[in-house]
Amino acid sequence: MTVAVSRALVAFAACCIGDHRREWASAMEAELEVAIDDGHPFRFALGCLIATLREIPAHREGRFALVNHAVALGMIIPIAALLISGVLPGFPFLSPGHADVAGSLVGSDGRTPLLNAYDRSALPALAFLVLLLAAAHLAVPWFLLDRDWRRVSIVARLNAAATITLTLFTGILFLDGSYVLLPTAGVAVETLAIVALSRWHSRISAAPLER
Amino acid sequence: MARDRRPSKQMITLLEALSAQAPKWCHGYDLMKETGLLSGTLYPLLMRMTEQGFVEAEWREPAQPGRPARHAYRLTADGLALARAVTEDRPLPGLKAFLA
Repeated sequence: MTVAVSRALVAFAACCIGDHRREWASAMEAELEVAIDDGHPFRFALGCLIATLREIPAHREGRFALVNHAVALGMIIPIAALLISGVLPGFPFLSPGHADVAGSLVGSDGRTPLLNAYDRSALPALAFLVLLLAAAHLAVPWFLLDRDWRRVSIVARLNAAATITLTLFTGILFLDGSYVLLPTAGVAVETLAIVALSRWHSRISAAPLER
Repeated sequence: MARDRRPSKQMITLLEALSAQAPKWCHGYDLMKETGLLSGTLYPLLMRMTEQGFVEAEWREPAQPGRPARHAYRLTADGLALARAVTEDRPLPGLKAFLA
């Protein structure tokens, strides 16, 4: 058990250490085998993790990794959660008098008397589109942390397309753009963050040895 | 005004251990045992000393088959000069960059 936890700690340290210190992560992993033979793997592994965490802000790639994680976990995932929670009380957002998520998905508008049957028929598709948008938002952090900018770009474009579709149909059906403020703001904030991170990463990649 | 900063106690311990072994290569875990430094202290020191040219590192083949290659360390000429200066309490060559 201690050995497994120690291996996990060193593996986690290796993930945190960044490309510029990749060799040191391998060095720690190799020494862990000696520490296991010596009977003190946990203390060694914990020290490696502490050393790695202390090194992160000292290098610009570490600072990038910190901000990248903060954006992915602290901004984009909450945006997805916000979208899902926006659908739960009923599509569209910001309007308390609508059906809940089950109602939206089956086409019931609950307490909105102005919606006619034709408008109501669009609710399932729009609610489903918002849920797809939320799912796509959840995919972005995965690719972002992998620094897979091609996939990040593909998902960001899909999100933008879905949001535009949502805006158009919501505007036509409900004659009120405020319903799509939340998904639009989410995509806008996410896109700006992705562009900024991508440019920052390009600068780091262009001059990898600078601190 | 430039300050004559001394290296930390941990760095002096590591310098002494490496200079005692020079020119032999030392492994990280062996250095931990010899100096009493924990891995959380030893590795940041080794990283910085390597970057500043006081220590050189290279991969060594494992003693037992099936084990990963191990990183080994030894003092460079600058590192040996620094170790001697620290031991003899002389002005420290090149340490300013390390402490910067």
